Amino acid sequence: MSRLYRQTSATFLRFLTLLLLCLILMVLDQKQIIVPRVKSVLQTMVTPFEYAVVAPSRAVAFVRDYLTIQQQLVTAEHSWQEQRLLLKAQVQQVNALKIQNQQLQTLLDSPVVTREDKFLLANIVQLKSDALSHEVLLNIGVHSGVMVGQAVVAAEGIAGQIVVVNSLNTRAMLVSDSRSAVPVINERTQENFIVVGTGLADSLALMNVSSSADLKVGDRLISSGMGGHFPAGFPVGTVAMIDTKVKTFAQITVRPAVNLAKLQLVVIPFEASAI
Amino acid sequence: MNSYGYLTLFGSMLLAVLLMIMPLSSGLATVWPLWIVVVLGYWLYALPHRVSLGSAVFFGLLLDVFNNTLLGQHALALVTVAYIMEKMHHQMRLFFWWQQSLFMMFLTAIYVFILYIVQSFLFEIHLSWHYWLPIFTTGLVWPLVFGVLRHYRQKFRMI
Repeated sequence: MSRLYRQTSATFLRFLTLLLLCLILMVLDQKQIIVPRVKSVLQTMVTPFEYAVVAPSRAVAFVRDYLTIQQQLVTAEHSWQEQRLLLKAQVQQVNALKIQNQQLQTLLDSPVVTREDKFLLANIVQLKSDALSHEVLLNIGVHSGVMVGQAVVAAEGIAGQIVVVNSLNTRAMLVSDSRSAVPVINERTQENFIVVGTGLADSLALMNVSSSADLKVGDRLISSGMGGHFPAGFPVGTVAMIDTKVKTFAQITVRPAVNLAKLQLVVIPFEASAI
Repeated sequence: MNSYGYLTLFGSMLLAVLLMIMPLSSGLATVWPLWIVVVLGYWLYALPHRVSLGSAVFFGLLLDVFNNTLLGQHALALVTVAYIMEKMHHQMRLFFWWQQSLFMMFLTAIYVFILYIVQSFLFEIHLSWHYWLPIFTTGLVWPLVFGVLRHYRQKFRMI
């Protein structure tokens, strides 16, 4: 009887010790003492597992690519060429506008100089996002010069921001992460809002919007650049659903501009001043 | 227990962690079970003298590294669940399979609740209700995990 009792109390003590260990680790990690560096090393060490886990879906994609018939490829190629031509024409227009803007600014004696922004290309290794952390791996490391806090942009708009830079890979938190918040502006009304993640890859939400706010389904939300974290002018999402019945604050669902579950290639804009 | 047994023990839990980070379509991802809870739960049920609370901490920390959460966050949740499981494994053997499933739902609920509490303590989070869905699916896959792991336990004569 007494032996049994001693056993239970030993288990309880072991449990308490481990609990304390976890708590100490968490506090040290939160306070940025040693633990984050250890975690960064561990994250580099487990990279093979991450590549192993994405291998099946990569294989499926490879087979699908392999089985694509020539006709489809030719059609796709044509549409890409058309798009490329259109974009090139638009870039010419933008370049002309840049020069014009520069001239106007010199006329005004403004200290603002037009900068040439740099872009860095990165491939994505997409893992299943934990409900508490929607993050993706980027195949660039610390040598590429990326820094924590930089925005990650896909072809359709803002995808997220860099949160960890390891020696071999980088982690970006997506806008769908429940910790994420992006300051935006409504393209139609020029009103400011904050788009937050909900932990779901295909729906974001607007914070603290009163039920009487001028918002319509289909309104495009563009990053406002407020707070300085995200560059201004990139699409973040469109208003998909407005529910005003529930509370004083309307519940607004926003569809992200980027297909966050199928990210493959992203760019990281470097502001010229940052380099 | 021979080396195959230890390999199965360690391998199944590692596999559970890897299943949890496997890329999935967004629909499937919201209902994807928390495999580590049931797999660890099974070993604590079947071989409580072989699996310690330390392994719960180990695989919890692994999840923290993969998910880039605070080191110790998943470990804290998992070790709490493991402790309850260790305390309850005698009673659990008397349960019907559906009662065991319900018990697993209860454990998973504790697991996700601890994660939620810690996360909301640290950040301002805005989680959708879908966050709580895996509680049910994790309970539902218990009979499946039970059957598969028992097969290997008997095959390798793990005692």
